[in-house]
Amino acid sequence: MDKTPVRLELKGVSYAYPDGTPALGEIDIQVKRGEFTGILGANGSGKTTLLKVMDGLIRDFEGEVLLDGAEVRRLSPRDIYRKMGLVFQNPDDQLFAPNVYEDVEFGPVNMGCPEKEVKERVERALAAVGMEGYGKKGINRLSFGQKKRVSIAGLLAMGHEILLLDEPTAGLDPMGEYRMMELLTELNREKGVTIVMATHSVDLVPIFLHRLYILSKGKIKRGGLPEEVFTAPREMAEVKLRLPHIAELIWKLKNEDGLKLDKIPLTVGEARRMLLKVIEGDGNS
Amino acid sequence: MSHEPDLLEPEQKTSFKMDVRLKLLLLAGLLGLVLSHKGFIFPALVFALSASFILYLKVPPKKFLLRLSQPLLIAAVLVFIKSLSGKVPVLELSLFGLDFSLYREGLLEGAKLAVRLLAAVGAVSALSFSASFPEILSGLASLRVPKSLIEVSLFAGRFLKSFSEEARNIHSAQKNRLGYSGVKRSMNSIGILAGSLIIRAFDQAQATSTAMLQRGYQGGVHLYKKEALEKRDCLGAGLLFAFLLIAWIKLP
Repeated sequence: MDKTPVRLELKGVSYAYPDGTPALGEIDIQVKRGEFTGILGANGSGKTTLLKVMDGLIRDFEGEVLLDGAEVRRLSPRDIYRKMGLVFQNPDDQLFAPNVYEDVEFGPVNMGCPEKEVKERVERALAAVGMEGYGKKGINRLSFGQKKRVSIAGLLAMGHEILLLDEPTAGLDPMGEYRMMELLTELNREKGVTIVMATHSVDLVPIFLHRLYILSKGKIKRGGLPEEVFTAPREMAEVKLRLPHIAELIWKLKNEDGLKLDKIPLTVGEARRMLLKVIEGDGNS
Repeated sequence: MSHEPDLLEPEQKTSFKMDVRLKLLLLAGLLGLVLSHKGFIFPALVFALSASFILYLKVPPKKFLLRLSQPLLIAAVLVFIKSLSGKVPVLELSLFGLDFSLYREGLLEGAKLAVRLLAAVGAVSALSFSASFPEILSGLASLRVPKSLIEVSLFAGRFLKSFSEEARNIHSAQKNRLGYSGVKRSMNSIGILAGSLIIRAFDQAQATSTAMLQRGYQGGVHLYKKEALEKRDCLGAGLLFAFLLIAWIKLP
């Protein structure tokens, strides 16, 4: 049995918007230390609301959200935000200082760190997101991708161990998407940051994430390892999603063209290995 | 990424550096001298010095003139209005069927006001071209200007550009759908644009406040770093002010 401590746990969480529209229903999620977890869902499925509940920004929900075993509603904002922070989908909502350095130092200064430590934290955080040397750059002068990186640095500088990210790859070009996911993977693997990410990028998710939850109409429809969650195209369509392109191709080859394969690969590398095996098998016979 | 001029970055392209607190004090003193001087020459000297300083900062002259255009217009109106009164007529004009006489005393009085106005605007422009908006605000904070005012100004500076972009986008979207064909439709579109911007401003305020709260904001942006003033800067500012004070006393 996996004994890795659970850092964030949602037990039977339900929430309705002030006008009574149900947003989340009976959500149960466990995020363990060092995990890279994805909340996958179509637009309007409740991903952002779920992240806000996790982050303690929405408090009038039913059920329990436990951060290191403590109910978030009983914790002060200071206690929550020392450990966990939410990166908004639109970085312009998050960055308010005139330049990069001043924005990143905002958290450590509010934490009461001495000036030398603030400087070290800012430099470390900027280096972690690949933005060294941008300290004096005006926020308005940054590209969208750079703004997203600075948003993350602002939370890393506070020493957050848990990052909640709302659509971190939204609005980025394909290379930018890939770089962002590489950055998050690096933070997760090398710095040990626990990450929960809301997304609808089905092609990227299986390459990088450890655990996945599919959210549809405010409810968790499925959860587990990526290969357990991505099943058949029809089931994915029911939750307004699709299989990764490569998985869809192999699924069709297997189920419609009779290609003999044990399972559906989710990444190009995996598919390549499986197809080479099949080709080699045919050649030998 | 935007390549438009940014309010948050200074214009200067030279290595001139002086603590912004000294610049503000110098400006306040200078404005006092300009406004209290009775003659022409001292304000004209201040304007000339400010303009030379701005050109030294390699600010494009067109940009400087553009900034001066509004005060120049106000100065021209001042001169005209003042020159309508006096004893010795110097010029007679006929505008839109109305006859005017311009008087020497009034013209002189108006010109004095105009040159003071230009000197003051020149001095303020010299400051704004040599320091960024946040630097000026941090200087003001150190001079005991209320913090809430400083914070609001800082956010206004940060988000002004976002909102002008937002306004441009909405305007383009309206224009694409013939929102400005005809006076009535134009008025309607402008109303919608203004309304949308107000809603956007509220959304932005909410998002920013959430972002600040989750980074430990407790009612104070730490703007001002208490660094000691450099002796060299103080000496430079003191000498400059002394020179201007002597000019204020000596010049007519």
